[in-house]
Amino acid sequence: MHTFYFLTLNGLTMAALLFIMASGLTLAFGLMRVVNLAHGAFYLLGGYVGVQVIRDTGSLTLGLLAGGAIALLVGLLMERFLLQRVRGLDLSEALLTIAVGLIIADALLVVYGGQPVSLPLPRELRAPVDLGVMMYPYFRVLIMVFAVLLGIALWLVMTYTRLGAAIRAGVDDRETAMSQGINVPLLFGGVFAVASFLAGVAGVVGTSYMSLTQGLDVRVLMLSLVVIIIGGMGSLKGAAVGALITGMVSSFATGYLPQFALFFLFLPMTLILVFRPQGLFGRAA
Amino acid sequence: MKYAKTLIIGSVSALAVGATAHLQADDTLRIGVIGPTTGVFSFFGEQQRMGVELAMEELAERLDALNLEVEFYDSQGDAETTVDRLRAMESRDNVDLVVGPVLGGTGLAGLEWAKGSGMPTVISYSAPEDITMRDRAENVVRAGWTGAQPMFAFGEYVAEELGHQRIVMVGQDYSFPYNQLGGFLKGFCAAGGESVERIWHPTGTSDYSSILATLPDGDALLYNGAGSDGLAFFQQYHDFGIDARMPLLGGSNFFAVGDLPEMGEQAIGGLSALQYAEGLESDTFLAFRDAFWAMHGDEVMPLAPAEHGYVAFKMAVDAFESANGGDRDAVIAALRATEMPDAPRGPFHLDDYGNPVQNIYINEVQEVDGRLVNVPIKTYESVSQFGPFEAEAYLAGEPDSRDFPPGSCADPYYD
Repeated sequence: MHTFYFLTLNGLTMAALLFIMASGLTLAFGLMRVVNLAHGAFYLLGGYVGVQVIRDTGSLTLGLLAGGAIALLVGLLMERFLLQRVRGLDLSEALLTIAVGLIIADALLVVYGGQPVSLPLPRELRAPVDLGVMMYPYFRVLIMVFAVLLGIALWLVMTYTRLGAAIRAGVDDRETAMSQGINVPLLFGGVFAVASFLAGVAGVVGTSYMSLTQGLDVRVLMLSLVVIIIGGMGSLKGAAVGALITGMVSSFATGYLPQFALFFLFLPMTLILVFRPQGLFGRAA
Repeated sequence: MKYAKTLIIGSVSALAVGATAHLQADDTLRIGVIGPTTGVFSFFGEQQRMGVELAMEELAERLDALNLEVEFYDSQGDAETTVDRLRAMESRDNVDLVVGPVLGGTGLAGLEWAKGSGMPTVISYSAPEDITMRDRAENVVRAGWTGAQPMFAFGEYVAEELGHQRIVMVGQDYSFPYNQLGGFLKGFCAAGGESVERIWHPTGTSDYSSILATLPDGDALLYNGAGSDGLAFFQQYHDFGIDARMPLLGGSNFFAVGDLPEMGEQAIGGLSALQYAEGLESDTFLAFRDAFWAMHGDEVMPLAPAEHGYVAFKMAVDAFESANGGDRDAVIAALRATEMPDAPRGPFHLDDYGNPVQNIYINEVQEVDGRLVNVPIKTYESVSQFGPFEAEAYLAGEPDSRDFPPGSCADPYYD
C-alpha cells in the first residue's frame, strides 16, 4: 500500500509540473494556433536564470520571479518581432519557434556550460512532512499546491472575467471576436507572455528535483505536447486531465517497468491520436 | 600565349606550395589533440586540453628539441565530427600522432578510423573495453581505462570490506554502465557477494521518484551512471531519505567527474572506485596538482580527464624521443612499451593489449580545505583491464551486456 501512495504522489508531483508547463502552451495554442516549440527552451532559460538568482541572492521567491520574468521577456520579444511577421503561415510559425528554441538552448550552453545544475533548496523545504499516508518531501507538496492554485486562478480568470471571456471568444472564433472589437493582437501578446512566464517558472520549480541540463528542453517540451494532445489543444481542463494521466502513467510505468517507461508514456497519446484526434476535451476542427 | 603563361605561373606556385608542405612534413612533428571542447560534454574536453597544456609547458624544451607542434581539435562530442577532424589531421595538417578522443562513442569512432589509417593514437579518457580488447589495433594504445577495470576492485571491496551481500543497482541503459557492472559483478561474486539486482532506466531520465518507490531491499544501492541523470538521482535519493535505509555507492564517474560541487555536502562519505583520485597525497600528484593550479587557477580541480590528457601527451613525447622522430612503426613500438613510473595517478605500464596496468583507488568523498574531493582510502595495485582474470579466458567470454554477467552469484557462471 505504501508503494501505491508513493507512486500516486510521485505521479501527482509530475502532473503538477506538467500542468504548469502545459497550461500556458495550450492557451497560447488555442488562441493563436501556434504550437510554440520553443516552450521547452523557455523552461531551460527560466531554470538557469532562476537558479543563478537563487544562488546569488538566496531568495527562492526572487528566483522564481526572475526565471519567469526572463522567459516572459524573451517570449514577448519573440511574439512581437518574429511571430507576428509570419502570422497565419503554419509551417513558418512552427519552424520559427523551433529556431528560436535552438538558439536559446545554444546560447545557454555558451553561458552556463554543459554541466548539470541543481537547485540549492533550504533544508526545511527538502525535509519530509507527514501526509497521513506517508512522509513526503515538503517542496514536492508545495509544487502540487502551487499547481492547484494556478489551475484555480486560471479557471477563475477564464470563467469569470472579461479578459477570460475575450480569450475564450478568441479561442472559439477569432474573426468574430475581432469584429466584436476585441483587440486580438494585444490578447495574443498577453497570453503568449503569460505562457512563457509559466514555462520559466516551471524551469525553476522543476530544477528542485530534476537536474537542469542541455537536452531537458526537448524532453520537457515533448511531455508538454503529450499532455495537450491528450487533453485537447486549447483546453485548460484538458491540460489538467492530460497532465494527470501523463503523470500517473509515467509514475507507475517507471515504478514497475522502468525500461518501458517511454513506451507507456507515449501509448496514451498514440491511442488518443488514433481514436479521438481532437483530444479528450478538444473540439473537432 | 597568355594562357601558357598563367599555366606556368600556376604550376610553379603549385610546386612551391608542394615543396613547402613537403618540407614541413619532414622537419616538424605534429600531435593532434582531439576532445569535445564545445558542446554538452565540453567539461571533459576542456579538462583534457588543460592537462595537455600543462604537459606542453613542462616539456617545452623537449618539444623544441623534437621540433614538435601541437594542434587542438574540437570533436563536439560527436562521432562523425571526430572522424572528420581526424581525417583533416592526417590529410591536411600532416599530424603524426593523435591524442584522444575522450568520450566513449567518439573513442570507438576514432578507433575505427585509426585502424584504416594506421595513425599512432593514444586514447585518453574514452573507456569502451574493446578498444584495447576484441577490436584492438596495433597502432592504438590507451592512457586511461576500461569501464570494468576499476569496478573489479570495487566489487571486491564492497563484498569483502563493507560486507554487503545484496546490492541493488540502478543504472543508465547503455554499454558503458553494462561494462562497469560487469566488472563489479565479477569482483563482487568472487569475493563472496550474493546478488545484484539490476534496474536499467533510459538515459536522460530526470524523475526517479517512482524507481525509488519500488526499490527492492538490499544492503546498499549502486548508482551506475553519471552526469545530469546521476545528479538528479542523487538529489532524489536523499529527498526521499533512502540513504538512511541503504548507503549509496557510485559508479566510477558518479562522484568523480564534475557533479560533486552540485551534490553538496550530502555527498560526503560517498564511495566509488577509479584509477585516479584528486585527493591523492603522493609527491608526484601534489606536484602535478599545484602546477595545474598555477597554470589554470585553483578553482579548477584537475580530474581524471585532465590527468589522462597530460599523461597521454607525455607518452606521445616519450615515444617520439625513443623513436628518434616520426617513423610510424618505431613510434608505435615505443608507445606500446610505455612505462610511466611517475604518473600523477601512480605508476603504470601498458599490458600486451595496450591498456594501462595501474592502481585502482577506492575513493571516499571528503571535505578537504573547504571543497569536496575524492580521497583514496584503499589502493589495489597493478590492476589490469582483465582484473583478476587471464587475458585469454576473459576475451573468450561473452562481452558484458544488459543481462550479462548473471546477477546472482550462485549462477554456475561464477564457478
